[in-house]
Amino acid sequence: MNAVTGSDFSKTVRSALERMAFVNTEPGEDTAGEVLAQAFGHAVVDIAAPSSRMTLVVSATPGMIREIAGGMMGLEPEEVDIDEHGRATLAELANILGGELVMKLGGETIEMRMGLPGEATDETTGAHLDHIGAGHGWACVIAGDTGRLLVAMAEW
Amino acid sequence: MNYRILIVDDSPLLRATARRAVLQAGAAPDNVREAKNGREALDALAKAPADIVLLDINMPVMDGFEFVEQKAKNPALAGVKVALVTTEGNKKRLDRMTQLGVVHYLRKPFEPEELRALVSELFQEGK
Repeated sequence: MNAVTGSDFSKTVRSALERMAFVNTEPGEDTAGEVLAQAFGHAVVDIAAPSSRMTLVVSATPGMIREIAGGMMGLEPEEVDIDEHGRATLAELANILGGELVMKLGGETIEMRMGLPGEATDETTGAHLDHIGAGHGWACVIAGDTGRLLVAMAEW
Repeated sequence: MNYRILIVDDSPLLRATARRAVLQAGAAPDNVREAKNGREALDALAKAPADIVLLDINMPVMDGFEFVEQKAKNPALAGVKVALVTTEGNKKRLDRMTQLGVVHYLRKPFEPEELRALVSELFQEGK
């Protein structure tokens, strides 16, 4: 299995956002805690590798959700109803970025399984970040024009 | 354009994105239906036929793999073309789909233009 760092995956996330939603981003300067404090919500997806298990956590601020959902649906960000599309956007981000992580880690040949994306609470997300802070994973922050995205991988 | 299309994805965001691409490729709005998983897709096809299914893999209730396996067992669905639109990239699992007759594949994340091009290609093949 290949090694993937937060810095590596940050580039993958930024490329994915540009491809699927025309959202141009930069690596963010904010801390994970700062993004969590402003987040609309969180989604998680579990990934099972031959000898390890991981959880990918995605958290986004309302501005970032509007940028991504608007780009995907052909709407202006301010036209996106965040109550209608916010959770679906987070879930699909977890699904797409989870798929990207599987490909980075295992390529086309190593048998890995990804679960279905699910919603996560502030407490669960905080616990994942605590686990990462103890040295079991990585996190990266992505900055858009009006919002922030946190992508974190906890290894169990 | 008279092709009947079924979009199968558990994500309402992806269904909206795919619907937009399909309409931009020339499909008539009344000919585009949606399903949230493989089970709903089989039910929808039993009620009314479709020419093209745009199929996600990672879905609850019935995933895309099982949908393709069920479809392959039903001769009435032999003429329905399936295009995978999915995060799946595992060669062994995709090869199994090819063996069951799925030849079109677009990996997420995709640019909207790539999906429009895939649908246009499917329309051309059907002429």
